[in-house]
Amino acid sequence: MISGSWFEKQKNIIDYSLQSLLRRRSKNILILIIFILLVFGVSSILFITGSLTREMMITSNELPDITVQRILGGRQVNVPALFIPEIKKIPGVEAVETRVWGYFYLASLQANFTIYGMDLDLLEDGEYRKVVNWKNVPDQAERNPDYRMIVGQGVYELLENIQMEKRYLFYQPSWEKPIPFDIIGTFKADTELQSNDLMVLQTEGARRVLELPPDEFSDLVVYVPNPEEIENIALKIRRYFPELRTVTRAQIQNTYSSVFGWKSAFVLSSMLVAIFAFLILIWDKASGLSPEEKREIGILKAIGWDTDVVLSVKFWEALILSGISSLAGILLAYAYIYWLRAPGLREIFIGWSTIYPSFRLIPNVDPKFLLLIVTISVVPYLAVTIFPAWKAAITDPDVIIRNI
Amino acid sequence: MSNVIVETIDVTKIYNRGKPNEVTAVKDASLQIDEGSLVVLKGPSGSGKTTLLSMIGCQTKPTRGEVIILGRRISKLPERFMNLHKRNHIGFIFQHFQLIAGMSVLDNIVLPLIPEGISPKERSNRADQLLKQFNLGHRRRFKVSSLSGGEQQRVAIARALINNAGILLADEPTAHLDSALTSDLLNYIKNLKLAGHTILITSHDPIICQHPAVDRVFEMKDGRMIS
Repeated sequence: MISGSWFEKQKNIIDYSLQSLLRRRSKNILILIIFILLVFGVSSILFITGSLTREMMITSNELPDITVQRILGGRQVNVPALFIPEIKKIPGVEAVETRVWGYFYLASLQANFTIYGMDLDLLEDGEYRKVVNWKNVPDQAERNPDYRMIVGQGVYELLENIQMEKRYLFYQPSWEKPIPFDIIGTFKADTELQSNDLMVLQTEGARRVLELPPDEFSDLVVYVPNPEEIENIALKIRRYFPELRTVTRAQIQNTYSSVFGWKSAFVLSSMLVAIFAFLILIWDKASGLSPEEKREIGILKAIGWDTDVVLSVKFWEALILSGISSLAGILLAYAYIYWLRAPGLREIFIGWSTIYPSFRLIPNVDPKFLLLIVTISVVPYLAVTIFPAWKAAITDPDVIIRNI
Repeated sequence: MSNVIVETIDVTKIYNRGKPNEVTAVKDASLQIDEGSLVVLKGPSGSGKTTLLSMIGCQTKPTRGEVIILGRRISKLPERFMNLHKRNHIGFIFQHFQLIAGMSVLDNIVLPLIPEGISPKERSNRADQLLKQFNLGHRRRFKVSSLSGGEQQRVAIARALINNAGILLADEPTAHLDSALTSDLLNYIKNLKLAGHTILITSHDPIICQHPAVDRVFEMKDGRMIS
């Protein structure tokens, strides 16, 4: 008999594998669906975690080198201005700046807003002007310069619902009267992850709303030009002023990373049932071939197929099935996270108030993730498919055929 | 002068050796088959004729003794070379046909050609000749499970012939056929003999054993060759 080329042989084997998969259609479709769901679930979590961590890391690069907070009785309190000159004296410190910020709970909307005080003229004139969609305030004369604010898109939409998108009245029951703030702009969509629940108020106005006394600040930020010195200076601040706590940029980055890592681990743990079901399924497959599959291997061996050809068929079957499943699972996860914006999962990963950012995640597909997904899906499936086939293929075809 | 094409020398096959269920299926069986002859191996159930046929057909190796096909001691060959020998020279028709149920007639027939790297077109051409020869052309795309017993038998014969093997082995080929189909089968076998094939059939069916085309009958009992 004249043999064909090696290439033709491989083509024949792949063709036979495809036919074989189609012959056991219902069983393979079931495995395919379970496989896709599993890969989709794991990929979605890895994608969202990766993108958020990356986003946060990029954002956190703009954070101050050291944030200084004052802790009394185990809780954070305002920092008096008298600490500023003392910290400035520490060698290596370039600048110490003050921050005014806090939270404002709006009972009627059951929403927490983050309030941040700054000189809005700096935003209007500086390099950050482009991050704001500026609104036309009708009459400059009407504006009280201390009672202006720029809000995030999420806040703006909530205020629109209560017809306060032009001017919002801050009010607490203990106050004599509400404080009106003109909304002079909204933050653009590309800053949504950071700005969605944010209200940036003119510093003096923020002090009023947050009831912050003069000469006190929410916290201080310290700038250190030499990155090698940051940890040392933070240590010195804590030593000289035991009531002060320092948070370095590296610590914040670690926190972001571990928060998303923890959330990812939490969601992955809740998927354990699905993973367990899949493992049972592949274990079932691993524990032995069906009589029909054993018989087929016996027939192939009996008509002269070599063991390695039988194993090649099983290899391609497993690779095609697991490859298609993994690819489909990954693509579906990509579409779910980056096009559909991860409904259901987004709230778990990025919600900390009732205003959920509706931002579009920036794709960040780490090849390590893909390798991990392939490792936990394709490789075990290949192993559990090939091992029982190998066991059947090394048995005398005579024995397999007679036993059935 | 006759040319011996198949020979077994004191062949013994023991299953489950060393275990409580050890069985000696064939013991010291020797035979010689001439090229182009039609030989029947007869004997009651359990006499060891299928096991001997399996050893000649490279389906299993003997525990002891030699199987020589076309001058090669195939019982000593590694699996890869034994399979190559099987694919090139032996066609096997199994008692229960051993066709793959979910596949079409055509796909079943061409199965032995797949590991040879023969292109689909060439496979199809070869199969078409056999489909015509065995009057199965109209069933080409049918699933084998939808065929009658006689048609399945013909598909199994066509598969055994697809690699142009010179030696054809058939295990109890009439066991599941009625007398009309048995007669058809014997006609096919006679024609194959006339075409130059060497044929070895196991059977205890007197219609086969007494058929005029049969050149020789070997008889087995309790794993031993008795005539």
